[in-house]
Amino acid sequence: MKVNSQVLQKYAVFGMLILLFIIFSIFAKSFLLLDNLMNLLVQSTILGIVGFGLAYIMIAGEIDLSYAGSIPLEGAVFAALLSRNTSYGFSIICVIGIGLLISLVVSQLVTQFKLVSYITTIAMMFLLQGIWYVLTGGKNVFLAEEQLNREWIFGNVGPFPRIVIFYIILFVILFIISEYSAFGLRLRAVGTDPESTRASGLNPKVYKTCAFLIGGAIFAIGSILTTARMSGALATSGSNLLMPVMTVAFVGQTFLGMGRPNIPGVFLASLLLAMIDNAFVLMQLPIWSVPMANGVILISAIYLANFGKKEIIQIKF
Amino acid sequence: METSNMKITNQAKSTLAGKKAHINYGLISGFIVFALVFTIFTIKAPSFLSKTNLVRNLAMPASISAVIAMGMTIVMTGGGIDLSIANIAGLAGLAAAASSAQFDLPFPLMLLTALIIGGLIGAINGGLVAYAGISPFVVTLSVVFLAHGLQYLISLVSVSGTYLMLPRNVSNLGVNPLFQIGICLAVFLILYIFLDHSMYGRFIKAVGMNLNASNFSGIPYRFYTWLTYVICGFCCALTGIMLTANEGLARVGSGESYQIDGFLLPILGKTIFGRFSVQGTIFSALFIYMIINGMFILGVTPEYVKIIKGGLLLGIILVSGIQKVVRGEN
Repeated sequence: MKVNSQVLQKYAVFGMLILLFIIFSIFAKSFLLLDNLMNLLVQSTILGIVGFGLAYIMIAGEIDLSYAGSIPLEGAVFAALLSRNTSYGFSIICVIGIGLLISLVVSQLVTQFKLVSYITTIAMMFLLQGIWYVLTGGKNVFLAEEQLNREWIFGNVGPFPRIVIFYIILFVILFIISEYSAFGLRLRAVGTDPESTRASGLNPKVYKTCAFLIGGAIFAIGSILTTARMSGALATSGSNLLMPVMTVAFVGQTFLGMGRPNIPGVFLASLLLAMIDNAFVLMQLPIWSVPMANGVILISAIYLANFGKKEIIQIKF
Repeated sequence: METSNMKITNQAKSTLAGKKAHINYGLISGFIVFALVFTIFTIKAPSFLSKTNLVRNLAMPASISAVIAMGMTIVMTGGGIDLSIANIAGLAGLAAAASSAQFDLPFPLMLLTALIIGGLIGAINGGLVAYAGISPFVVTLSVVFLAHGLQYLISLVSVSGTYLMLPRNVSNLGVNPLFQIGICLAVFLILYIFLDHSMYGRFIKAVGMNLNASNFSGIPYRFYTWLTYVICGFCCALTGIMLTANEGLARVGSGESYQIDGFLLPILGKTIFGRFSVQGTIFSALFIYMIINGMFILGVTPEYVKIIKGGLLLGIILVSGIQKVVRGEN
């Protein structure tokens, strides 16, 4: 029984990935075509990139949901700047600056005033959504083809789209930083036990702030990519990402039974979710069933990973 | 949690000594600010004090959101959180309206349908949190999307257009202030007695304050954690009915604007009253809706409501954080 539950914990997500892949190959027409598999990779990139940001914040023991507010806001700013013929470089720097600013505010609230990050970032999310609504009047901002060179991001290099190569490079960099560098190790230490890290001479506040800033910058990159993919800033770009990114970050925790947020887990989980999204569309299931499937997978993956321990998790204010 | 402990011991001391030893500055300043804002609106905003405005535009929306927030208060007292409140409300309202249209149910049966659905989803939430040990955050966020998908499913099956009109007698009931405020007061009374003057409420508070201690004192802590979510589900279902009846139609995504109230009101109540309490939630519902109502009269457009609420929520959390830092808690 003990061995069984350990095996279950370690390979639950792997098993689910392979099982779903087989099921979808049988039941979804043209799922296995190379074009579709490339499409699937492209679908997983934005999810995974935003998930990396969230994973970094979760490694430091906090959580940040403000991305559901900041991504549409940053996207709207990006689209507005581009439609006024600002250069790409300046627009990207502006957007990343906004992301860093938001994260700085959140991180200071969380570290200096000892606020619970769950509720603080939800408040931030509502606030940013409100600001987005006032700025845009609730309208989508679309970009014309000549204002945004989509080919530059989504064009192919060999068989792979550029965005996938960017995703894999980002994955490798973030993976090495989080697992094999002193900074990553300290970040993890701060996340597991802030008190002992303080006792051993590190300042947890600094590391948590760093994690939030890294997260904010990555959310901004995700927002730019979302805008580029949709050829405009859409109203739903934030709320559509809220659930999948949470799922990716939490399911990623169960990767190889690690039980802690980690980058490879996020990578794998982003593939899992993109696969579901892709195959559900191919199987002509209604679009609202995708978040439902995400929810079921999230709960079952965490249930499997938690199999032995059943402590009630409380959220204190 | 420390504060409420401290407060209880302080209260015990003050009753022993027969004098007021502990002054709750939060409560006093809360009431002063309330009175101040009320006076400002009375002077500045014309027709703020009229009976129609106070009852229809202030008390009625406040009571709808107070019911959902009181459910959230119970969950937060038990140390949990429920993100799915607004979607449970929407689902219960839509399902009740759809079933009443399909089977020609009278209003009491419609109410019962909503309550059963709300209770069921609450039970699922609570079961996964209390018995499977999954983070309440993750569970309820998943349930948000499950409930949202179910709403689409119901509307596909039973609603032929984008929304479903309710029978005349139900929508008449929905715009009747007596009905809305009456339900709110009834829920308030029941939950006030339950939470503050019964053994069960004491158990829930104990579970919320210290899980291990309550386990060692023999409280079935899993059951009480589960119970908080079920009660919250019932409250959400009631809100769903109140909202659907008030709008006069059932649609997908109704009640989603009440999500933010579910966080804002209990936490504001806690900041003012010093602990999670239903009276605090009612007070803050009146407070928030007074501010919004007064601002509408003064000419603020509805787009700013989300900014106002989000900013208020952030500000209130900040105040409670400063309280913590000043008191020197960990």
